[in-house]
Amino acid sequence: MMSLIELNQSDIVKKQYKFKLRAFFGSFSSLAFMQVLGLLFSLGGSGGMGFSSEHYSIHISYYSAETVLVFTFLWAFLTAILITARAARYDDFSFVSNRVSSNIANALFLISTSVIGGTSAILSGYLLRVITYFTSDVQYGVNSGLLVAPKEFFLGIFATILYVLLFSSFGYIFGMLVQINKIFIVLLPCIIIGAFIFLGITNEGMVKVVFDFIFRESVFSLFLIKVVGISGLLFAGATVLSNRMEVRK
Amino acid sequence: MMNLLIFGPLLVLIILLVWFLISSRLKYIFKHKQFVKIFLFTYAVLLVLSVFVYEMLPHEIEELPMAKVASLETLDTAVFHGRINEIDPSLIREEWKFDYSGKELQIRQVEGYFDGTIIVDRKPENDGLIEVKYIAASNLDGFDITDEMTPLNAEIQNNNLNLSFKSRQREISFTTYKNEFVINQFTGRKDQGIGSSGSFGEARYVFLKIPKDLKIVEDEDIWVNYTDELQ
Repeated sequence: MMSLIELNQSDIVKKQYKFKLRAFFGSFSSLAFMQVLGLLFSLGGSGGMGFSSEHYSIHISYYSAETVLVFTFLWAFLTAILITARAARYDDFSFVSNRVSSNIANALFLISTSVIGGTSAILSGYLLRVITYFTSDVQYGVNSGLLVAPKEFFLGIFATILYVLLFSSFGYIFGMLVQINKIFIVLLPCIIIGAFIFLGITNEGMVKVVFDFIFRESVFSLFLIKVVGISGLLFAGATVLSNRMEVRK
Repeated sequence: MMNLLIFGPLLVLIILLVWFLISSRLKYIFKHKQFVKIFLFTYAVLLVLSVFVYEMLPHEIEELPMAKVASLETLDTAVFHGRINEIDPSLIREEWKFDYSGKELQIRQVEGYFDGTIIVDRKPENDGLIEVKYIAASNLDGFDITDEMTPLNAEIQNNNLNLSFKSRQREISFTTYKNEFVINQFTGRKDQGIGSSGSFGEARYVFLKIPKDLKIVEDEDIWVNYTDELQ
């Protein structure tokens, strides 16, 4: 039966986006769960180092939300894979839609999760500080906080959102490749890890360049352009890949 | 009291959260959308509240001082060449000046074992003055912890320069909050996290400026270096 109602692309995307927010609402509870877990791991310190000699035994412990950040990146990567799963893709067939609208809705959903994930990850650092203020004997602080250093506060939030988005887009294309052929489940980690090990031995400088391109970029505007550019390319690549997939039988 | 007033409501919220999580209904509870909503709402409220609670907590923000010399090798080169004016003045931990009219001076360790370096710089004239500087830097993971290390004492008795270094096994531990690497990446602050290798390094020197013709007698367990050896 043909429908007489004509919907434009943006309406379809909007409907699909709202549907995905409801359908994957559970992913936010897994985000909170992962972050609470990260916080628990951070209660004993999220890093440190020690040195011992004839005269001294020196140890330094750090408290920060870095464990929570890493857990959040992992969550973003896995959530992005999850929404490319066959069952999730088949949900889109409930709508009058095409692959492009479906991918745009997915990208919008992942941008939303990145905003929520990134913001909550940085805020969890303050929750950790409040808890450890009462539970641990932390001698030194950092000159940070919403009132003391508002610029750093918002910079941290925006940078984390961008990192979460980057991991989401990697997860998204990874998930899409796996949907095309299950062999990528094994092949992709092998290629990526293998390339890093191989290049690490034969051309250490190149690994450093790849690492520094994102993790050592000190100018925020450049970092923004790089992350948005890479994520955009990955989402576009995933859209092209999804067009190659067979239609639902 | 103030701490308890602030922490009290937070503690109740945390206990509620934990109680929900560990309750026997955990298996079913996540299936209830209502619970998920309460869980997420509580977590979100806790996160937002903690930003303001942290600001309200009475705390003196004292940061661990950053290392004054990025490379101890640079300090080493400057001291060995007698270029004391090139080094950060705060690295000169102690300074003594002794009027001395003797022909020779014996350097002795009277207490402890000084594992640093003794460097002697001859002045171009015989001014009857011995200047002793204790230069030290201890870097732990990019922080300056020299204040925590054992100080040195120097005094002249008869024809001896007596060095006492009260070294004993000490346990020093620091705990500090730090900004996440996503912030340090843009603020230029040294990051002790991703990609950085934690390290400990220290340098200790006793730098002596002596009159031109004063003869230095070395104690058997002391090795003395001269700046003119390098020139």
